[in-house]
Amino acid sequence: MIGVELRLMLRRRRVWLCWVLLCALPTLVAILLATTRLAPPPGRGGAFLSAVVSNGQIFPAAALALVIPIFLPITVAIVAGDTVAGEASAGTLRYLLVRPVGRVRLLWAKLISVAAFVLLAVLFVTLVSYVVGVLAFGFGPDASIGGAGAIPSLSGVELTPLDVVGRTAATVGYLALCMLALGAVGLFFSTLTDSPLAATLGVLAFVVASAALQPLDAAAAIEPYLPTSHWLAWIDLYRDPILWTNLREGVLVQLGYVVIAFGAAWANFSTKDVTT
Amino acid sequence: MTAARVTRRWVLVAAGTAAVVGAAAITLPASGSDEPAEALRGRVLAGSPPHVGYAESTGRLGLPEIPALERVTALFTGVTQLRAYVAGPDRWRVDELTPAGERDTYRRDGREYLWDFGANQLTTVTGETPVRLPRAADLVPSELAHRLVGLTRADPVTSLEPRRVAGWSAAGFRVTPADPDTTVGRIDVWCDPASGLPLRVEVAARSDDRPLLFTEFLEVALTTPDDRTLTPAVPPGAGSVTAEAADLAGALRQLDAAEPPARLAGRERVPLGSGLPGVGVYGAGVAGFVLVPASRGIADRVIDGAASAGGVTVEVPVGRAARLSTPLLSVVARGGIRRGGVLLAGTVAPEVLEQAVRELPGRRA
Repeated sequence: MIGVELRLMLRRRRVWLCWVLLCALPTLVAILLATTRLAPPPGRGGAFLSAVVSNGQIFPAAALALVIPIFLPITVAIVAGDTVAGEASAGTLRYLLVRPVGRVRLLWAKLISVAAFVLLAVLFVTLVSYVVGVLAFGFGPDASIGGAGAIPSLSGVELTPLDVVGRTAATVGYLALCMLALGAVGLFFSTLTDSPLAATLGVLAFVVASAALQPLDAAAAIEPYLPTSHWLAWIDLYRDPILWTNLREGVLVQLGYVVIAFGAAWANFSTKDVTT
Repeated sequence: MTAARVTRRWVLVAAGTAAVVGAAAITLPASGSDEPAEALRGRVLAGSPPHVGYAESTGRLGLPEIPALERVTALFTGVTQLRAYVAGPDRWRVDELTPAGERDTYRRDGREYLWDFGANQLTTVTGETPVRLPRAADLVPSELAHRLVGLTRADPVTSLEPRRVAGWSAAGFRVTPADPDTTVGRIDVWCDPASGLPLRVEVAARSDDRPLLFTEFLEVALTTPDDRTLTPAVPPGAGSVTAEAADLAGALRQLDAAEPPARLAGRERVPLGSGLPGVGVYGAGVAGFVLVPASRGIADRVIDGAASAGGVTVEVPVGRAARLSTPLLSVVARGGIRRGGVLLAGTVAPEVLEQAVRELPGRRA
């Protein structure tokens, strides 16, 4: 079942289009920065953007910071919103459940396919932006400690290539978890309706509501538990020493959303009347 | 039957959600301490043990942006994320963390080093000045508590209920400044009773009981940071410059400011170790204020922007002046005259600064 869902996901044109568009935005930004050399002034603009012109190897971090607030959540909403509602609207859900496929197993397979989508999305953005960044801005000045390929951390300390690989892998994993939490919410919304568009819009409304509440003083008590509050905590992986406080909280909050949203999807879908 | 199954499943999900939310929200109660408030104050005054921690400071002073001082006003009007590595009073590092980078201050071997990721530059600062602008490192709970408690050591102190801060059971005490002219209503400090390490500080105004400035550790350990962490680094491609703290005196000398009066608004000028031309500190403790010369451009921009920021015009014998006041901090600027621009700021009633600016001699060219 999981293999079938993964193959189905990889065969979908809209999935590939999402990945292409996600990689296109940072590529466009890199081209514009490389041609104009007009990086945002220090402290302004997206994270790492002011530094990429002197070292292209930092560009994956800048690219992730670019796609995280809007573009990545939109693609996750599209894919997750389509998981169950898409089958229902296409009339295939009833036939799928007639086969000896348990509903929980189906939900689990759908969640795994969403997880694969978000992991590949973050990975593609990282790899493509690394290549684009190095082509556009080079490897940066020769490093005295880590040799060629080292990049400066936010704290000024050099990160060796091995360090960079480890921290980037952790970044990819963390962001994939953040997006999986959103995907799980999308999966739940997808069990509530037969319209993939409604489920997608529901996920986007959820993101917008969270982002709107985040800066409010009146919402300070719930701010640490909002899904968007920890999306930028991965930046702490590029400090030296790494600041784990926000990352640890972020992982727990996102896991909480995955468990609760999947539980809600299970509670709703297990006894839902499937007519289409 | 189906309805019952549906209900059972949702009850299970609701119970799971409640368990997850409850686990996140539960905080252990803080245990009390028999230590008297005066003794706790003494421990804080004695200094903090080595520690490493992550803290957040929140300022709600409602200050408008003051030209050329935007970074300073931001410290008192928003949230500042801080990471502190303290080995001792002369060996420490404090990072100001921002979503787009960080600004780190190191102190070791009698020097200060400032690393700014955005500017890609390490600045080595040699020497010291008796007066400087507030900076993020001042907002680390251990530093802020030490500074404020030091300024109010003669004021009455009372005990507060213990509270849990960063997982520690913290004993609290409140200092209530006695000077009627200060805007500071209370300074609350919670510290680890065993080590005396301040964990949370709240400052509230007389006119508003809500804390307008509070800072607390969210995570802290009583460990000594290693030497590597306390050593600033300059990555290849980054700039490295050296500046003398006395350069500030040079910049002030350029303003050709007059000698500050020996007495302003009924307060004596505090003698400063090494002179900063035109700078004067008046009064003691949290009822003091500072007089700083400013270029005509900066003073005029503050005055011009005061009206839109809720400020009021102050009648002065020479030039023009405006006052910006918040419940905790008052600022008065005088401009409109050549070589006579000044800024006065302090945690005193605005009337005190108004009186001071009226007493300042004019300096027409």
